[in-house]
Amino acid sequence: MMTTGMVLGMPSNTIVTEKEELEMLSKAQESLNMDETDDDGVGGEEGGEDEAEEKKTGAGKSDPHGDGGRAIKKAQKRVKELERQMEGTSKKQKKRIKKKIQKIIQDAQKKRKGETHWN
Amino acid sequence: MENKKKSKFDWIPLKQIGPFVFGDPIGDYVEALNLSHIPEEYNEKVNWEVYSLCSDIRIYTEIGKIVAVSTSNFCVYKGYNIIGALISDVIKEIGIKPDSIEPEELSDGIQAVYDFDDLGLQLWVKADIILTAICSGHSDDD
Repeated sequence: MMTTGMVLGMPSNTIVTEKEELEMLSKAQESLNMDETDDDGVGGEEGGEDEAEEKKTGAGKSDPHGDGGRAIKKAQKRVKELERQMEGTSKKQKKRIKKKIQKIIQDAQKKRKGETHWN
Repeated sequence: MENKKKSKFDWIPLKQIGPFVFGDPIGDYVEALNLSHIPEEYNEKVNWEVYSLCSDIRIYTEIGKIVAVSTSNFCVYKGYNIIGALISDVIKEIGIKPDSIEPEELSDGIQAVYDFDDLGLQLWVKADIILTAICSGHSDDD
């Protein structure tokens, strides 16, 4: 077990204090809790006719189907949002978003491999 | 850290993870490591070609060069596998606070995404346990 605060070559002014860490974790947890109350679970930015229709009828004829169908549809929607966020943002932020998109795609493909293409 | 599994999949921030050196041509690895190309995970906007070493490890390339690696198996830092470790332990260990913590939904629920920009590290965390690490190197974009 390595000791708390052992910096491993990092500048000493970058050490996270326990208080800072707790604050960050607390903020993240609040954010997660808020998100869990949202049916879509993707930040409360969705809604409208598409969602209402989906709730009423389930996935449409041309939508992915089966166990992973809904998950893939939701992932596709989120990927589109992230693609939009990439436009005009900083390079660092863009790289973060690229990683997120790839992780979401990998997860969705794992859920239902091969049925949906992402380009 | 509690998780003390050791492996050869060492992560050297911004330089290398396991055998993969950021910036190296992927061609050098495809045959040697029998990597599979995964075209179905390509996204036009991201523009990263995707290769797989196994089901839990992805190698992302841009213009034929390795830009990032995603792993849900091993990401060994200073002898400790951070996959499966507590996020709080890893934050203390690396000594840098995350630049952002954001929720993101996957098929099996919401995970917290921790980004450490200066290390090129993104961690996906569920119930305080690190499930996936996506490591990248320096690039022209940075």
